[in-house]
Amino acid sequence: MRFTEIVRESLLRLRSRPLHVSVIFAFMLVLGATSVSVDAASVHQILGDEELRTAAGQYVIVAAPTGEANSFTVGECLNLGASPSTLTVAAATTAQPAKLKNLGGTSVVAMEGTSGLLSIWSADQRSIDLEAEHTIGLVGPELGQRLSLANGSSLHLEFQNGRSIEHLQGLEVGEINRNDVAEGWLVLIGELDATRRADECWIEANPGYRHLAQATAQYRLAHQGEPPLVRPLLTDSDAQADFAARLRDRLSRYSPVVASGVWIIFSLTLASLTAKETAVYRSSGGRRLDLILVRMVYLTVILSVVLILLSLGSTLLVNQFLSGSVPHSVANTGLGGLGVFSVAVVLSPALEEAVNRRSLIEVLRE
Amino acid sequence: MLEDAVVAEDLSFSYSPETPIIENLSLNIPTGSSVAIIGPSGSGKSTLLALLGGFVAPTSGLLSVIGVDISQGSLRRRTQLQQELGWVQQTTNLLPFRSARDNVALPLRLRGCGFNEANAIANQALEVVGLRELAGSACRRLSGGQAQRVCIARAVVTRPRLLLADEPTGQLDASTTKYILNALHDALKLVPGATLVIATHDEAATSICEHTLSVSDRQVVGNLVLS
Repeated sequence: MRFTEIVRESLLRLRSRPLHVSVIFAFMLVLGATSVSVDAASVHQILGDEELRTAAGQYVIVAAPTGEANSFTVGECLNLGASPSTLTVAAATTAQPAKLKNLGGTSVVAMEGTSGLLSIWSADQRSIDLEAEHTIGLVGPELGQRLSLANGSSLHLEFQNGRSIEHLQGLEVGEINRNDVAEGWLVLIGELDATRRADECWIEANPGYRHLAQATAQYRLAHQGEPPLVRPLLTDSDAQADFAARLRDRLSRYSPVVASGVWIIFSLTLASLTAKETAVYRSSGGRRLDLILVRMVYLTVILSVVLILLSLGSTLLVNQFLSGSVPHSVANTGLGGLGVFSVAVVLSPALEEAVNRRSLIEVLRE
Repeated sequence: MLEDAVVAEDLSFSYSPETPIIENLSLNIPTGSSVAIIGPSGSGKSTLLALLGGFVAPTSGLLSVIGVDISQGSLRRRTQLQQELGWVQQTTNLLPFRSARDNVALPLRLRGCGFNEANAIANQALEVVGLRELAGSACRRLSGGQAQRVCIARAVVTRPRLLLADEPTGQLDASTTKYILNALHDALKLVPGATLVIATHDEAATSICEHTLSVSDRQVVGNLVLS
């Protein structure tokens, strides 16, 4: 069979699918999008709107143990870089490598913990070389303390967008009670801006590790001497029922696998000709190779359309309802799924042909 | 002199050793002839036809069909044979969501014919069986008789050297049977020189065939002689 005819046969087959296949198609699409969106929606909110209002103009310190998580993403909650007048500093420290990124601000502060000194990165990921005179202790001189990392290294800070180091020296960030946080923790320090606060505040760990984020958030008011406010980090999650939290955790962890599994079944359903159809093709003179190729092309077309729709849908969903950035889990799901789909495209028709050993005459007489 | 389209010697077939369907059958069908194999249900007619089409392999004996020796049951040879024959079945095995034209053109396209050319030939075949106006209709919308005529058109569209028809009128009423047989007769004009073998229990089928083979009992045994 000519290749053009193989493609055409695949498209004709696509056009002549019965209605129930279209329904299954739509259902799977919704299922996949839901799976991804559930995963994407499980972002941990550390500061609610009310807290942002009351804490406006004050410094905030958030501490979270990293546990097994090796990556955190911190969003708009501290209005990083939203206003030139806002002093914004972020620092990360952990016994294990950790990353802290502001995905949306212009004066992004992101720090990557290493075994030695912390590196400071600008929004465009350029590393800023630290000079000796531009380093300072995190804790203000009034407290008479100097914050040290667990490994004994000093914590260094740097401003972005031309802010001078002197501003940092005037910052009263208060005391961080090292006893309140676990080894390997993430610290975010900043001054809230009442006029330009962000709509939402979130922190996201790697998929699969969110359940480890049993952390505390510490508020240190600007007025020296006031005790820090300590509360659970995951306030919103804590308010949910255990079952919902567990479900979300499971979905978060397994959604790429589940989605891929669903797609395997879906692709097999779409790729498979019924035994009768196969018999008709073969009794009409079709070779097995022709049938396999027809199904491969057919499946490739279907999955390409599905993947495009799914990607667009997920991106739209995330952008509209969750945040301005697409969480890693979406990419994980997409990429993981794509790999499995590719295998399914190649293997499923061939496997089916290999397994199908029924007599042609037997099938046709049914 | 042309070689016989079918040459069978001491041909046997059984699904299990205890229940032989065909035993020691010898048969010759001349090329270009039309033969009706008549017999009651369960007599082995369809199995004989399946053997001739290479859809099942003989248990023993020699079988050559349109010059292809399929005695040894080689799948490759049987597939080769199937490329050369047309087949009309009792059940209308069509792709139900595809048009009559698509179904008829399919064997041509599977053999490397271009889309437009295949459709043009399919239209001609459908015209011969009286279905030109329904060429674009989905097969699931056709009546039983119409679907069977599509099957006939599909079977002859590749101009096969051997046309096998297994109870082509088995599920049809008398008037439709007549119409189908006429369609089959007309369709044969598209393939001059082709050999037609019909397995049927319907005596009416003999009207379009030159020869008759009568099969009785539950087994096809011994020499079958054309009458």
